[in-house]
Amino acid sequence: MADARAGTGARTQRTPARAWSPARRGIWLLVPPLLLLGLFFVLPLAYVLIQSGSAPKGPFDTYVRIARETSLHYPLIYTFRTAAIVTVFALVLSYPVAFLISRARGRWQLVAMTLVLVPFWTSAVIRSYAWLVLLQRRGIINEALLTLGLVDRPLRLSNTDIGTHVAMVQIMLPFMILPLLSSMRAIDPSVLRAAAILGANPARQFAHVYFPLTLPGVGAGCALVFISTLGFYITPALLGGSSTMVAVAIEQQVSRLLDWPLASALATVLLVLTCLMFLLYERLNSRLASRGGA
Amino acid sequence: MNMSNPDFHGSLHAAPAGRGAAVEFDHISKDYGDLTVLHETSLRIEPGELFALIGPSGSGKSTLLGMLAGFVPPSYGAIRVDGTDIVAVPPYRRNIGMVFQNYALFPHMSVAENIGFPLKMRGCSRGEIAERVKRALAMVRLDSMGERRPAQLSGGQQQRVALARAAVYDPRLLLMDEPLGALDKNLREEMQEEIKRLQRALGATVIYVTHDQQEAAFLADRLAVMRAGMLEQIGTPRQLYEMPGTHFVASFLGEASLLPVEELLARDGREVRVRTPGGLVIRALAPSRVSERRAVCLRPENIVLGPAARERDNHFLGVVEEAVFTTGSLRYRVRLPGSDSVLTVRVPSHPGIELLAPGSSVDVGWDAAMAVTIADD
Amino acid sequence: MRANASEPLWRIVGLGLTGFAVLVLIYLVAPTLAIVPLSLSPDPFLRFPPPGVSLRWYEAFAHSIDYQLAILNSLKIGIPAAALATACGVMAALAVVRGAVPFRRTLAALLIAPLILPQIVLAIGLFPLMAKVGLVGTYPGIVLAHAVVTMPLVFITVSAALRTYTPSFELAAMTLGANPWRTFVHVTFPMIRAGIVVGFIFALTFSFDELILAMFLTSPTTRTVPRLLWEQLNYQMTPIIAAATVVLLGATIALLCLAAFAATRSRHLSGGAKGVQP
Repeated sequence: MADARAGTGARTQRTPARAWSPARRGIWLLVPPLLLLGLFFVLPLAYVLIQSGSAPKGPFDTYVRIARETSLHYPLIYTFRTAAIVTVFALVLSYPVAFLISRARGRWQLVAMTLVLVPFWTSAVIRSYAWLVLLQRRGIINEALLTLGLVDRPLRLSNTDIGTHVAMVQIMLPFMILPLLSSMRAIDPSVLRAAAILGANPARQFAHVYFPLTLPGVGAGCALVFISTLGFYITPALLGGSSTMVAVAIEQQVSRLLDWPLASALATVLLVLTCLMFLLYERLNSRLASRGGA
Repeated sequence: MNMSNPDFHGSLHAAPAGRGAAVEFDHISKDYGDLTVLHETSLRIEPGELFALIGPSGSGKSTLLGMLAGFVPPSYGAIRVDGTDIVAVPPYRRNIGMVFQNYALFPHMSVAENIGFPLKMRGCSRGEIAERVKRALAMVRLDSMGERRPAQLSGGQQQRVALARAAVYDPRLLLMDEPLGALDKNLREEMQEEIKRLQRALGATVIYVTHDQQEAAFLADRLAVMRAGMLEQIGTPRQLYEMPGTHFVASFLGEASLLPVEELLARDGREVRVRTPGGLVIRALAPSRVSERRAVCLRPENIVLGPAARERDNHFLGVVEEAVFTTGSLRYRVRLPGSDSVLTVRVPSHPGIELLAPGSSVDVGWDAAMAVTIADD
Repeated sequence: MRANASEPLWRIVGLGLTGFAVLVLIYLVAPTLAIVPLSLSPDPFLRFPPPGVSLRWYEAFAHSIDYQLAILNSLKIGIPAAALATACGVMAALAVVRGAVPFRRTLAALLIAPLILPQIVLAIGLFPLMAKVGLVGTYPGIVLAHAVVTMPLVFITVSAALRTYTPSFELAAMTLGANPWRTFVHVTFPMIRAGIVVGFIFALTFSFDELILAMFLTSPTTRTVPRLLWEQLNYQMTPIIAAATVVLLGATIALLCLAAFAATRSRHLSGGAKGVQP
């Protein structure tokens, strides 16, 4: 049937070239944003790559050095480990908060949202400084402990992994809570009611119905926190830790050692890792979507 | 501003009743890569005609309308309005009025601003805009609603504002894309009258897309049934209902029972005698070439039950399979002897009539003129 | 989850969950508030509990030429950067959401990439390039860098605004005789105005807070507030920083309230009816 009529009449001229199309007109709108992006984003990233190969001993020297020298590649491992720890803790702490906000009514919801959004938009410099005030040798926590006579000497809180992690998790919390919240708000409450009517107790409703439905939000939140932590500079630079995060290492390479090729090579590795994590997330996400999970 | 439509400004002043545009689709087609959504189609719509395009969703009726409005560039072919090809003309210079499915009333403008918008775009003076908006509001009987926002109106009122906005600049061609789709049944019938009245007042050619066959039959001078990106049949609503060309058209417009045809036995002018696989011999009408026709189509209200059936051209003793009361009529499913064929029969209901019991035998009959052979696909 | 609320076990679980969430919220907010008592302390060094209340650090902050200059710089950089980001972000959103552009997914990913990528990587590439053309230390240099990293915020908010209504409004405007520009002015812009304003405010806030690019691309004469804070944190820590951060915190909250206000006001204006999605 489909072929019966096609090709019966003489084909008139092909029209697309002169036909007016509303959609095609959108393309010129892309020129300014792509120009901005090309000149001040793509070009600098390409330059990072070129710069990483400009070491006097050959184009791959910097990468060989990163592979060989523990002091150079350890920050990468440390950063990855930190990102994983921060992501896990942020998820565990955020899930109940997002759940409660999604269920809260009226004023309580507004209050809770404000408590999440204000830190979200507060400078990381300010929030890290606050942790320094709390954690330093003569900071609020130590002063309080000394005054109360709980300790004799100030505890070492800053420049420790625990202190830095506690601060980083706190700074990342809004980035986890907000995507979780948006996926929780999208859940149709009648689905849970249906599960309850079908005889699932709250724990089972959660495990079999609620949690799977929030997986897209869990994925987005984890991706956001993990990727952001990979490039974390401010908090680790200010509070320190047992080792250096890679962003801090890059900054030190250029400002203290003036080794631009090496810094660029580290930056390239960080760039590739970030892209890989993003692609991994996209993959998982589209698989989740195609399975019709949401 | 190379305007292909010379009436763009001219139509603003004179309001020429009875001057609709002629529309011609000339070998038009649309494909997206390998996917063809509209096969090569040619179609002519006469000036002042109310032409309906009907078909299930995805049949290509909205694509055809979108091409005419200028939203969808055709892959091949030409579209002529009064003889001028408009394919290269952007929508804002086509001077075509359009009513959208969800009205697309601008939520940030008042009703009067919505209706005045096309006049403003045409550079009319404030005074003229105010005057014509007032007239348009009166035309759709919303005189006091000008200052309201669309969201403050009911669905039917919004629909009228959309009509007024599309008609206020006297376009010679009005497109309507499922304009009543969002309204409930009673309101829809009321608005159908309104649209018919408006079209007569404006004299514009109207092309109306809908999937509601009753609406199309009520409104349209002519209609085209579309299916899978092709025109299946074009004609007046009566022609299409009474002389459907294909099974698809027959069942899309109203209810139909189909009896398969195995063999053509005889032909006498427009009348034929055919035999079904079950061995029944049936007399029916054959409008054109009979070789392609492989089924007999019967409308439920044209079949007679009971003793009166014995006097018809075709008469059989059937068995009632199902009997149901529906508002206004009794609806039966009757199996014909020696076959799998089941007819749907509709008999007017009144207190003096008994509902036949399922399983009982009944005389079934119809005249040859009531049955038509069609292509069964 | 409330189906069996009558069972004491689940009620205890619910209470525990609420308590846990409240503790997390305290952990989220309280540390930042610790700066407030510090900024009000009369002592140059931290003591707990503070020995008294004084506004001397706020006074010092108000009289500090460094801070005045930095705040001025942050405005001089943030406003044009956010404006440029808004213009480009709106165009990109219109093209990607409404246009039939090829490689739409890839394009959308590219357009949000500057927000996701660590700024240190961009800084390492931008600094030498900008140094070559003499843009390091100038206003245009940091404005362009901030525009590129904040454009995604506008792109995201405006794309979301465009997705809240069907394109049939724009198509309707066109059939009614509005060319693409007038369609944008009379129909699209009024309908996405809130998204644009919110995007602009987000971009501005981001630029005000951004440290790393500012560290690389500004000079002592063009340095922004975060860079000044950072330098003071690393070299001469006094409670004047606390006073400055409390003021900045107030400014951030004010800007966000403005964004929230803009968003709710537009929702109110359009009467909550942005057209029915098909």
